[in-house]
Amino acid sequence: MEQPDALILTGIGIGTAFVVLMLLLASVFVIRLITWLVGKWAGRNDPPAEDPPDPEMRNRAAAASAAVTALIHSRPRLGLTDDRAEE
Amino acid sequence: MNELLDFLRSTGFSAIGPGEGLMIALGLVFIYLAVARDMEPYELLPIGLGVIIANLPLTGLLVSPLEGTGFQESGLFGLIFHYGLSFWNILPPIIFLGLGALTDFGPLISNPKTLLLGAAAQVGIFVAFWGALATGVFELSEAASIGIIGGADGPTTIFLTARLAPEILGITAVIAYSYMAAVAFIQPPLMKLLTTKKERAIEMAPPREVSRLEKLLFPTIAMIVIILIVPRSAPLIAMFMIGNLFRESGVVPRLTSAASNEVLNVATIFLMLTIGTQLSAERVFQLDTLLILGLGLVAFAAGTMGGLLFAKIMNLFLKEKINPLIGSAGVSAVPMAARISHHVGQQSNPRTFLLPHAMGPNVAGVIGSAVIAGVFISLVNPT
Repeated sequence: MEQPDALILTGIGIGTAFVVLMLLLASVFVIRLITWLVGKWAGRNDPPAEDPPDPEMRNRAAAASAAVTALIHSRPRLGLTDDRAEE
Repeated sequence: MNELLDFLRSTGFSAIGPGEGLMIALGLVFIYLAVARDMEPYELLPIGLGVIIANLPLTGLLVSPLEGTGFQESGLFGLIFHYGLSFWNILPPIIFLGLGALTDFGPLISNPKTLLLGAAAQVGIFVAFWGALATGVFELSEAASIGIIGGADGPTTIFLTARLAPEILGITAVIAYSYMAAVAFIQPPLMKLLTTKKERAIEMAPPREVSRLEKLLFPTIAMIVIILIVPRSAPLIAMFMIGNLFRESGVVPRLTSAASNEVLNVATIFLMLTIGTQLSAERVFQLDTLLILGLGLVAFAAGTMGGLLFAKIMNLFLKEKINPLIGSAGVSAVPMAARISHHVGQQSNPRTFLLPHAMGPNVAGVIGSAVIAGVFISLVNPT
């Protein structure tokens, strides 16, 4: 096989790089469209949102969480890895 | 007495010459730059060690399986060079697997027009290619291998040169990595020369958040499209995208970790040591080497200028202007070139934050140079 002409090689080389990267540019827009369509489809098929929680239940949960946190912080040496607790 | 003389003749001292001495000194310079200056240490340290080993005489470490005629006559680095590069050429694609696992396509997907900057910066490859042909010293395959230095991508340079012109592999690889280490000195003067302070101060809006689905689809589609157009780029492009899909899938963290750590590191050790061993005194002290050194610099400079000027041309048509400094990152040299765009931008306007924007053309440059390497392999016959 003969060596190609340098000018032709330059044209094909730089032309191919531009064409490939232009195609990738176009593919990004196609991907965006696919993502948008998938998001729309997923949104339509999502289960209906649950009813908002009862405010009283939410307050009780917050209070319980705060109590547990306070308890843990008041007895820091009684953790699972605490040597004295094991004694 | 004869035994003693024979022993003395078998030592390296009897065969070492001034050329070898100079090359060992060069190896020590590489080690110094890596250790004391932190310049591309992962490349320059093993390359420097390889240079020293290659120039210690009578070791037999570089004897290729094609030269070795008897039992265990091939040298360790002769074997790695033969099977890892010149015959099978598998080390650069393995490096690309690791690079893919480390790459985030997010900035490129969020601002896809930066892909064009990655293409424009490849002009450096062809400037050096024509420069090499104009010297009348190099054949077409060697000119292509010298030109690819302008892609500023070490594994791509090694992959192409090992295929087209293995006799200049050590030189092109070392020059590519040396200039990649020196982009901090090569690029900023050109960036300041070709842009106004107002242009350098342009602020760009933060890139949008890219979804996981986009990050999964892009490498898959890119791999298929590129390999269909340039099948000979497949070893690099396929491995790069496979590594990236490991990362973005999120379901194979051990494979991602292995590709970007153990596999990449092991391949780097053998590749860089072997490249260093290709720099023997008789190969380096030639006119060709000086020419390649000069042409490599031209390639880097032309690539930088190509990216910068194309960004300025794009700004003529864009409503939302881009900072032209991100164009210089299109030469690859990931991530140093992107960091330099960012630093030069901040010197003009501390509020401009170019790093995520520059990563787009930076990654596009890797793809662009791998594509051009594939074109060269498809069309040019090896020497």
